[in-house]
Amino acid sequence: MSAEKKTILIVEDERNLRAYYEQELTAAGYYVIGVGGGMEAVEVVARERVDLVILDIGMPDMDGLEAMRKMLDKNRKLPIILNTAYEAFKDDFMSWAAEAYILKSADPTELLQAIASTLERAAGREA
Amino acid sequence: MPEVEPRNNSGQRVAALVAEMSEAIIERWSQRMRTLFADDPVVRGIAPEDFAVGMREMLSLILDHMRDPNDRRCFVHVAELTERAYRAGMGGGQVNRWWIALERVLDEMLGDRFAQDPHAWLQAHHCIEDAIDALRLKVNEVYHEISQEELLESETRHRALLRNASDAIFTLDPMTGKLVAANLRALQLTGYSHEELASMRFPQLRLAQDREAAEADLGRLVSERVLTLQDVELQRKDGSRVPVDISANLIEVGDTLVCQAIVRDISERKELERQRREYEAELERRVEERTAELRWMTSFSESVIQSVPSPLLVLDSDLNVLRADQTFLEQQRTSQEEVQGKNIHDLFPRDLLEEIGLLDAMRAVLETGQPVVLDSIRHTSPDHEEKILNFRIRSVDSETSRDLVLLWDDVTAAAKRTYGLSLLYQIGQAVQGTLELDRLLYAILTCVTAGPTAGLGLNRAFLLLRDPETGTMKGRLGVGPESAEDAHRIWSGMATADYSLEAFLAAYERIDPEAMPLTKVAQELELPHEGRCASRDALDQKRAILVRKGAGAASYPACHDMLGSEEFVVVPLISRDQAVGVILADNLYSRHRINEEDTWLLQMFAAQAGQAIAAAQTYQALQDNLEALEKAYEDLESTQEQLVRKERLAALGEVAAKVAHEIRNPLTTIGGFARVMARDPRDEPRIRQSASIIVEEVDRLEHILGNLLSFTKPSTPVFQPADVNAVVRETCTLLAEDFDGEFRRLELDLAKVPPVLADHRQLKQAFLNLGKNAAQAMPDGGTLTIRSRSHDDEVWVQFIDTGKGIPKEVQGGVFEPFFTTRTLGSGIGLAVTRQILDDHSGRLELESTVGQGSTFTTVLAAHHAGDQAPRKVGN
Repeated sequence: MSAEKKTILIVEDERNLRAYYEQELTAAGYYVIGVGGGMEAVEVVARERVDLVILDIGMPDMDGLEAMRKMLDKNRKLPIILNTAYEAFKDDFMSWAAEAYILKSADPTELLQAIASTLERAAGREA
Repeated sequence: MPEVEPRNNSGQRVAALVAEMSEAIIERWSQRMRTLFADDPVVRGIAPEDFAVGMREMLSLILDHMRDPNDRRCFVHVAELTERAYRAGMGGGQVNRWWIALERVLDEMLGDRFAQDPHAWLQAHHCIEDAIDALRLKVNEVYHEISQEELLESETRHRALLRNASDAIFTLDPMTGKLVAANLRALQLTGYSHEELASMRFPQLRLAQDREAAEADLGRLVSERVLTLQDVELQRKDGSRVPVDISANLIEVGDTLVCQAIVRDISERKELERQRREYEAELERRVEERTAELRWMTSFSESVIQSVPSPLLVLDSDLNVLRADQTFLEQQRTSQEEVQGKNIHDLFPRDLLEEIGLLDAMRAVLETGQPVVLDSIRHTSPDHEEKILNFRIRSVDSETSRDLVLLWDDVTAAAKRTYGLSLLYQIGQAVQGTLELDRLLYAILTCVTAGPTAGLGLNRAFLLLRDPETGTMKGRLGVGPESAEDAHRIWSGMATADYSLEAFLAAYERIDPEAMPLTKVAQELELPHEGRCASRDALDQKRAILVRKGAGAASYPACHDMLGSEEFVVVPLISRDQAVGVILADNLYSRHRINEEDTWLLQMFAAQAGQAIAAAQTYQALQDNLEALEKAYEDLESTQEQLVRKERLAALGEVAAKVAHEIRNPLTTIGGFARVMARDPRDEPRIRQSASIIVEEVDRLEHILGNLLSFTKPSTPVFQPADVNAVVRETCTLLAEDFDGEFRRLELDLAKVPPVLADHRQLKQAFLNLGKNAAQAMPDGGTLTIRSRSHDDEVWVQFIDTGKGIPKEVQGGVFEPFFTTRTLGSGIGLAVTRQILDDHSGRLELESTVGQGSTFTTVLAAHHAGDQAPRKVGN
């Protein structure tokens, strides 16, 4: 009975892609909250319990890395996975604060694995 | 038998007979005359034809008389004949001889004729006798008359003479010496009067001291009948003396012997003689002076000739030597006596006279009198020594003849030096150019040896260079004939032309100096290690050194046999004050002494060689540097290429990365929804939704791809008149998905605008990019207004959004392809748009305020009819 559904916050400005991730993660058994921007993401994290954040970087109003910093301010232990189209931000040390840096791909396997292992690790830490 | 006839008739007949025989008579008569009077000078002196003429005349006279004894004309003729004979110098006796001889001859011949008839003969004889007698009588008469006349004439003359003679004439009795008569002059001469003289004796007239001699003279006069005294003195009455000549002779006047003495006053003559002697002395003095002058002139011109340093010959018009000057005599080691009279052919070799044209030149001068100069004549003497000579030929004219002066100068040394200097100059020039060192050194050595006169005329030359590492001399190059035969062959075959440096260098192309036989010799040369070494000394002292076997020469015994020649000269090669090598040169084949001139020139060449080496070293260094530079440049180039390649790769990688980024989102979406569709194919609503999203994303991908292609391979726009409003409307259709109406709204504010010249498709793409960009700028919704307006001659289409805006610092970058910031991933859309506007000669402007929105303005020029291409809009 501890197998409660984890909440994943997906932060993605592209609508269609966000819709896909919501579907995919829901199908994977997670409870998904989808937001279109960094600011909204920070609000959600402040207000609700989120187990994992999937964060896109290139977003118009607030980029993902800044959002990540804000979120971590609110919750230091919050696991965040960067899911981006750009490799370049790997060099940005801010990105090191993330649990994983995933390049967007049509095949969600990598992402789902990263989600699973991150959640496990996080649970393990709490325990 | 002829009849006897009366005398008259007989005369006629005899005459006829004689006339008949006249030729024979004359023949015999002349023979007779010659025989009888062979030693008579008169007879001897008569020419034969005159004999005949005279005889014929005489014969015809006889005939005339015989024909007519009363003919007086023949007497006249005979008188004429006789006078002629007299004037011809014949005396009466002589004339008579002719008649007598004729008579005899006639007798004889008539005798022969009348041999059988003595009576007839007798008659004839009488006839002839009468005739001849008569004529002879006439002859005698004539002679008598003549002598009478002569006597008278002579007497008269004598008297006149006596009276008027300028000479004093004394008549005296030779026995006693008493004066009998004296002429006027005699009185004047002696100063005595007639009476006084009459009582004096001739000897008394003489000087007192000569009295004895005078008496003796008188005695001599008597015995010899003639006396001549010259330059004796008479004493006059007043005691003064007078010099006289006396000429006395005895004359028979009837029975008496008289002496006539002609005394001539010779004082005038003596005075004249004295004057004459004076004049003669004066003349002699003057002649002496003149002679002295002449002698001085001669000796002066002689010394002038002798002072001319050139040998000089004076030749006559047959080209025989009249005289030679001292220089010639010394050079030829002969004497004036030996050489005078010799012909030019004995003194000059044939080739000089004929082939070189000296003979022709001399003949020309003899003919025209104009001087001739023959310059720079090359002549090889039998020992191969070539000389260069200048000849000068002048004519020397006198009244009687034209002679030649022949002068010549041996200018070999000067010519050699001039040629050597000219080569030096050329080498100097060449050194300044960039020549390979080897080639130049070869040329220099060849200049030294190309001979016999071209160049220095040294036979062989060797070059040794100092090895910079070991410091020892190494033979590098050798130039010259290999053997004496080789040398002879080369020199006798060589055209006697000056070689220029160019010719030598051209020859270098054809030979390999390494392979030259003397190069081997050079390479095998070893400088002595012990003892004095000429090369070392030459380098130390920086001067040429002559090494010669034999006493008195500077001793380098260790070096003597190095080259195998009697002597050789060493010249140092100095380059920038460093010793770089030496040149050795000798005359192995010709054995000519190496003289100062050679050494001087050689040093000059060595100096040039030193310079050449310095230049070559510099050149070499430059070359090396150049090579290094080239290498460095090559490296640089390849590095640059690498870099460029890397950059390009990098750029390409970047592009690829950026493209990847652009398409990653749509691709993830497409792939994702495809998977969703695949997971549950029966979930129709889901399928439909997924499919529609996929379609949307694919469109997006196509757009991106289109942009990408536009950017990388921009196609040349095809311009047609277009209505921008129409294009905007078409674009709006494509923007439908991005602007759904509620969340994001699209509004059109289109005014009537003139057409523009545009590529429809490209313009649409540009507008599409701007629309999509606006959509992206409004992720939380907003309004895009597309406005079209015409301003002046321009057409504006503006895309006004209410999006986030673009910060100022980033505004320039948004048009860069793949410009990405964390908040802005614009891709290449705007870059392509700008490119398109550029191609349309339009422009793209941006105005933006962060938080409010952005306005992108495209400006195009309005199309005028007739435009082939869009006009450029201003700024």
